[in-house]
Amino acid sequence: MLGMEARRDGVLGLSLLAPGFGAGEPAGSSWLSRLKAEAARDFAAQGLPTRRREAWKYTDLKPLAEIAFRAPVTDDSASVRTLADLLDLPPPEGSRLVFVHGRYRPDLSFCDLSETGVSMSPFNAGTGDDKALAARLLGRIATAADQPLVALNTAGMEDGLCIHVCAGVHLQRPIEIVSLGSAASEPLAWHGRTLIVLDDGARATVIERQCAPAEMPAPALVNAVTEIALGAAAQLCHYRQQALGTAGFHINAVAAALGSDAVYEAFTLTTGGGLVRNDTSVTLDAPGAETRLAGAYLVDGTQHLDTTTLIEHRAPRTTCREVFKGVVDGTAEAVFQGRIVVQRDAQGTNANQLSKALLLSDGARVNQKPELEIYADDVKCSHGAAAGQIDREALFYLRSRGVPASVAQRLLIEGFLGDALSQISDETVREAFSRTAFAWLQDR
Amino acid sequence: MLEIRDLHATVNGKAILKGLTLTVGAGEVHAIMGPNGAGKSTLAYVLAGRDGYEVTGGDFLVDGRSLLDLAPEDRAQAGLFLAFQYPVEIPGVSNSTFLREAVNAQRRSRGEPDLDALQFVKLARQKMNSLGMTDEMLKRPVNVGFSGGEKKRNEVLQLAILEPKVAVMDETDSGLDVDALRTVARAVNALRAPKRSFLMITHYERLLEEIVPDRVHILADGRIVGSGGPELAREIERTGYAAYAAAAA
Repeated sequence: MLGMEARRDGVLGLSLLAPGFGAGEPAGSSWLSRLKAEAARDFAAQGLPTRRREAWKYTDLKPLAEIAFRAPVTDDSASVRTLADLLDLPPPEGSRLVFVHGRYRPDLSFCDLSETGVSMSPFNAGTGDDKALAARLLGRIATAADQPLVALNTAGMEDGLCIHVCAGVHLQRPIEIVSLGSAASEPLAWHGRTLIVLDDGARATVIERQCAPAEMPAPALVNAVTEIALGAAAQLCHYRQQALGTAGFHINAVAAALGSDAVYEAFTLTTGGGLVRNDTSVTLDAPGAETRLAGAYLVDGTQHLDTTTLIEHRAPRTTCREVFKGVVDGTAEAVFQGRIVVQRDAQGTNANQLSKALLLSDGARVNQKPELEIYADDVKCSHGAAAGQIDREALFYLRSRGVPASVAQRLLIEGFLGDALSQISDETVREAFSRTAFAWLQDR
Repeated sequence: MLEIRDLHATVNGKAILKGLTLTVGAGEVHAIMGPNGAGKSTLAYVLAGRDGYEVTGGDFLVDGRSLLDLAPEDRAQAGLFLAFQYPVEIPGVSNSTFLREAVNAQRRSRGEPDLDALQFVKLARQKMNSLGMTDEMLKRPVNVGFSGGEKKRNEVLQLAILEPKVAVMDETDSGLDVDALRTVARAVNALRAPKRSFLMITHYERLLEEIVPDRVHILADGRIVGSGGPELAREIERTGYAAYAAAAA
């Protein structure tokens, strides 16, 4: 009902800020409650973005405004624990931090105490230093003023996680963040927030998994924001896996700011979600900074997956490489919007972008919009976007060797995705993600 | 053995094969020669079951069994092999994955257990050694970046691993220099066996100097218009196809 009123006003989705939603609740510390209140105002002013907004041209959030989402109140520990078991996660290699409906669950989490020089804490519960870090950086990398969903996240988050790796520390094992949703009978929305800070020379691998049962009785809205700050020569490998049920709306914004010679490697594997938006923006703020963004998606049915990236080269000799590959079946729709901006000072920039989609059915669609905006003159930039079907010649070649059509098709799709998956430098993750992608193919 | 009976086929509604009849006995090597447009490659694709090649009459049998109504993979599993004139590049799929899938698919169809990775590598190495191929070709994506000679050798490697009853070699000599041609021909000769029939489709006689056929057939305008021994190939080399093409028309 509120959604209807909101639309009459020309601002979509104000019901998402309804009381009892976290937005109006005291946040416990003055800086955080100020940030939240400000963000609530930002969201109220902007509302959910409509397709008139260029960045949302191909993804329609109107259906969101029509659902009366509620904030999760309690979680049933027993059913959640069953859920965690059901998801059949491999045993954690290092720390595993589990969130249910955006709330940290120490009972399901495991902290690897053998690693030193790293802290992982909620924004409010950290030591003085980490609290100060969160207060200083939160909302500075992903900004609420111009991004309504970041505003909504900031207004709606209850708490979040701050990962801080001290200067020069190389973490031996990955930190895993598992975000679970359960099969709730009413529509729930939650807003996970993560801040990852690597001081100069620090190195870490963070694996995020968003999981929920494949069959969900009610839609869920997961609106997550991750902010990343990398100091000079810091290196972060950030791997994300999305396997939310198809009744889920998953909006995920990652914003990273890189210091000199820092490296941000990210890979996103998406198989789940009804409507998914993976929004990644990286600013290469200092000389020599480098980012490698890659992803693979496999969608079917009526899924809608939007990959939007913005890379801003602001300093000399900065590098980006993007490789995204996707498989679209049924009447699913994929979107790739890749914008690369090379500022005047970013001489010697090297930017490379590739996005390819494989359409497996007549109803499958993809919209691709690569954009290069170059203000410097000494740069090397290239981009390529393509959509195609299974290569019939190759299919026949495989079949002529006795390989059944279904297996031949799977082999070709695996080969197609291989380019993207091979961008993952961590071997364990690469193998695990490949297995997940190939299992999707096997099950179709 | 291979029996082709009065085969008629069309491509895009145009008749290309117009009553082709041919029998290749077990252990025999036959060559089909003919001018451009005679229907040589069409014959190869029709036998292998490629989309878009419609059989409008006749039949063909491998070992007494008609393969006409079978899917390409089932024809392969029944013992038919086509060495492509232009082997297809498959980025992202390693040659070893491809070969292992192929050999295991065929093993499964015979009710045999899969070869595991080790067993497969052992088999592949042994076959590759005999073809003068290096292990490195197993790791590379199928035919991607292969030279003309490597592609053809890769076809012969598949032939060696899959051990078909009938091998149709489509223009195996095209794109090869003399040395590569010799290498490939030696490999094919080594694979001649009492229970294996070869049908060599070729434009030029030079391949048949290396792989000496039992019979040579001239294909013109979709039919066999002349047959003979290996000497027929040398005659064609001297006189050309004109006389045969005229006879067919």
